[in-house]
Amino acid sequence: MTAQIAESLVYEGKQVSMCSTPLSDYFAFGGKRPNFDTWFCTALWRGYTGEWEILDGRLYLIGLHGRLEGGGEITLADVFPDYPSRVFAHWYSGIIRVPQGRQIEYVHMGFGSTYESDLIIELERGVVVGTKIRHNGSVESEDGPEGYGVGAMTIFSRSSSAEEDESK
Amino acid sequence: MSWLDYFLAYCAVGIVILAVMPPINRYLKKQKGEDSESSSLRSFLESKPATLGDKFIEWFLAPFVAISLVILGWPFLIYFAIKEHLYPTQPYVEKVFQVDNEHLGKPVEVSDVEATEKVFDPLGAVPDLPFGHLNASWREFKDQMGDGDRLWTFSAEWESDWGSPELRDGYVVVKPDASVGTFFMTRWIILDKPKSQQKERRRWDWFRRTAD
Repeated sequence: MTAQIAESLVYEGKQVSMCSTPLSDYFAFGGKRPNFDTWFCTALWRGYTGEWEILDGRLYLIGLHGRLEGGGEITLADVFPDYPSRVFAHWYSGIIRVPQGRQIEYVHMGFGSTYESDLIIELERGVVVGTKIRHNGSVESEDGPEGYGVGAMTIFSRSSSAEEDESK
Repeated sequence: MSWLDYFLAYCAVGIVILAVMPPINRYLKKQKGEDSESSSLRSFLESKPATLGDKFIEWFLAPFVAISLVILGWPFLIYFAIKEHLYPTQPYVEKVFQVDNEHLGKPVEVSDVEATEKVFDPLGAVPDLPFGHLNASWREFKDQMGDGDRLWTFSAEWESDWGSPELRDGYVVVKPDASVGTFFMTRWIILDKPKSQQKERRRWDWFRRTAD
């Protein structure tokens, strides 16, 4: 069980980490899912990372990174051939969690770690309907890590399935 | 009789059990209609260890440990065999979401749904079609409808195996005999975060399986 790499979000002009995966809903609703290589990194079970943007109150997917099972880098065009640079995420309803501040507790599983606060963005069919800040506590020490991060992961070689790296 | 005699008698029972275990196992599997020789055993017998160390482990150490465990721990084997016979382990079946009659909302016309479900985006980042980027999936769903089938809305509160309450909305086919058919989901919201790490772990196990 490994903490997972977050998605990337451009929100109010800043790039932040996003602990939600709206593209998984697209696939759950019947959207065509390429054969992502889900085995090359233990911190990326979903096989891709998405770059998102909230622009004028709407959620857009603006980039996709990862690789396909047979080799080759994934691009947005692999999922949305006619929209290679920007996709309106109209299928997504729910919340987006953006962790903020210092880390209170590290959990080496999913997006389980807790941070001082979470920016919660509520969406309805891809449109922002509300935002709120959830305060989770504070960290007295100033040495703790700030911002979302994964403590450790194993990356497997691209040419073979041999273990290549254990980074921390 | 000395303690050594008792010990040898105990081991003798273990050796007898070891000898009768494979044919009994084969017989029981045949009764259940299963393959008498499990694929794992077959692959073990067919395996060709690469190094001398592997050969030592696979052909000597592992069988020696297994045989010793049966000879010395046969009462446990009998206990577990009886327990399994009386209370067989039920295979785990994961809960799968399905729409029930109680989740049905109202009947709708396909043409009305297609008119209301068109998606607009000022930046043009979505096709001007019903359900936008999910239009192909919608058409596939729609094409499954047979004569007499009706389209209904549905909304279901559901709890998955990891214990998170969910809300799922969409459209579902209702057959002429009022049975519920395939559905097309348009909204899926996790209402609450799992409370325990165990539930969170189950959630990520599920995620792992569906990602494969």
